[in-house]
Amino acid sequence: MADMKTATQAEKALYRFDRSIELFERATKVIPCGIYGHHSPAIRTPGATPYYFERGEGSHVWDVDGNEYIDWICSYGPMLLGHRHPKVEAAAARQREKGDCLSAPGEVMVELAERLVDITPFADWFVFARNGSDMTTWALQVARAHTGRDKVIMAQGTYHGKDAWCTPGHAGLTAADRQNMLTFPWNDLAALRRLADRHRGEVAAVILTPYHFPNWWDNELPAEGFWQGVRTVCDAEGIVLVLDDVRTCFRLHMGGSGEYFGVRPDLAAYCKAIANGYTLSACGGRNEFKTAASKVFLAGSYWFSAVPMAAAIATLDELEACDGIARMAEIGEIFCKGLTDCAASHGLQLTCSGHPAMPFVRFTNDDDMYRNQVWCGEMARRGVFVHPHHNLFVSTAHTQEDVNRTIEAAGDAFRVVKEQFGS
Amino acid sequence: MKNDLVKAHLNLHAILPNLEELVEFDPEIGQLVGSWDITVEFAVRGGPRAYVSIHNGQCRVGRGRADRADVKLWFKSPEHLNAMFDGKAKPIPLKGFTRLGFMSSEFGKLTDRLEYYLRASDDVLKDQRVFEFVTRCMLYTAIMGLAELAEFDPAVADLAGHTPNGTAEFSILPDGPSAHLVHQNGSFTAAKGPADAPNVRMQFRDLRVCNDLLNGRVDAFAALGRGDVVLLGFLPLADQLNAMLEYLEPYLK
Repeated sequence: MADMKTATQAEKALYRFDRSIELFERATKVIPCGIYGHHSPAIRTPGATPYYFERGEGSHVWDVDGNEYIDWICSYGPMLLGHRHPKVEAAAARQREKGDCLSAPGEVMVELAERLVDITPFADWFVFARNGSDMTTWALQVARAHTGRDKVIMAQGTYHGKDAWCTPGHAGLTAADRQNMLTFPWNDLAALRRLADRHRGEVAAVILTPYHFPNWWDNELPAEGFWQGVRTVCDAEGIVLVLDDVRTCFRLHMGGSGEYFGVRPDLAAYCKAIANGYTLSACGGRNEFKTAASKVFLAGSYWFSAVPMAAAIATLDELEACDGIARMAEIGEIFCKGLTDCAASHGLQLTCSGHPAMPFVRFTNDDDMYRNQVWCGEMARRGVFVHPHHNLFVSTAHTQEDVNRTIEAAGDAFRVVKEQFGS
Repeated sequence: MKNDLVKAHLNLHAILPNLEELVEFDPEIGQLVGSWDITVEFAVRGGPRAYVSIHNGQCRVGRGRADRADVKLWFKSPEHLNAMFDGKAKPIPLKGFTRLGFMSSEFGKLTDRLEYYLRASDDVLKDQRVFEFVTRCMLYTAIMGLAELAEFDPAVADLAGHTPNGTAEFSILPDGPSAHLVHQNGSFTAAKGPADAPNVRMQFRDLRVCNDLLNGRVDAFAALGRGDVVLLGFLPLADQLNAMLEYLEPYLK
């Protein structure tokens, strides 16, 4: 009886999402999907997840119901130093006082390009846009302009953005949108070689992420010699190697994730963490591709905005100053170990895959993610924001205390999973 | 773009099977077929083949050749079959000449009645029993249709190629009906009823939600966010099937 009373009190303390759901109802009347894309609650745990946030500070966010969360999604990557980092905010504010969307670029654009060239061993130049897709698509255009070829090779199941060439399965596309795309299984160097052989003289680019992080499935690091093999195939066949570093940049290495895995790309697309949440993407390249880059049209209404560029410089400064990359890896390691140990103590087996600063977490015996969906919903109700189908993100703002609180909540959530599924 | 071969497959393997439901649902039709003992086979040159068997007041629609067909109807092309379904052409009888009168008068009543329900006006659908029946048929048609589309529509081939293996179950809460679709290495099969161990479950809150969704009156993401549709398990499978459903709509309109 005493246990039952405790359970009831605990139940009462669990978060509710009434205001989120009320807002969503309003949204569905005036916005297709209510919330679209990867922010849609449809791909998390509808009804057991916050839909709308009001504010963020460091590693924490508050939803419109007033619930506070430890945020392990970090806006799907951009929050590298945590929400509203004071130094980044100050730099952005200083630039905002002078102007943002001016009629010509600001000095800050040159400063940022110089800074990126300085820290990126392979790159001699950079350009800027707003979103990851702006840059992955543009990079392929540069590769085509440089080679005079049409086809592009990518890994099966990889996400490169929202543009038509990279989104099989969505409405409004035509067969022609993907007719030049060739795919091979990640880490299968022999398959890549076969494709390059079969389409000799036709392939403009190979575009790959630094490691394989398909949604809904375990992340896979490059096999020994994979990247070196990719580089060799590209060099032998005159193919441009494009690194899609949009999701990973500045969580693995200051010089770009290619440095982390020992490969130098020809072009690399950055976004997400580059300006700690300010809207900015970039593409860097080697001198050899600068002429082609100059010929491919690149423009957007806000692509020269100065505030995000100032924020990016401050982000890079702070990341270096606090040795942020090592810190995120360290926190990620203890996060994953803490969760897997906690799961084991409840008789459950958890798998953490990918880089520790971006771990993908799932129940080992549940390929279909039924347990993940329940677990993530229970975590949200206990103040921890995690995702059942997407890799998580660590920021430099996450602390040991955040990890401890996460594991405490996870224990309760694991208990619910155990009760519901048994194993 | 619509393809006549795909449409012929849909007519025989996604729409015609609703006769099984019709015979059980409609008392007049039940009475009409109560004494029938007949198997009719539909064969399309360069296309699908199916049969309808009615015995002891029960109807069964199957794929391929019938064990013993009393009447065989031949179609010179998928276009020919589709024209017959649209009421614009007649089949070529190969067997069962003595029953041709029966086919055009009595059997025709069956298919006419099915068409009446599948094209029911809003007034007719105010009857809750009819609404339930029509929604059930829509669900079965959609799931059976997806399997045909995935196999035979070249436009869907790219999507099908990106579809993970597994079983998807679709059910209307609280008590059904349900249907499921199995994908295994490029082969798609569909069946009425629940699946044994589905990899993904799509559950509609009620008949209205299912009907609205299949008629394109609500958007799926909004319905999921509201909890009107619940999706559990391996979402990429459902996501790909949902994308294929877009291609089915023009055929069924």
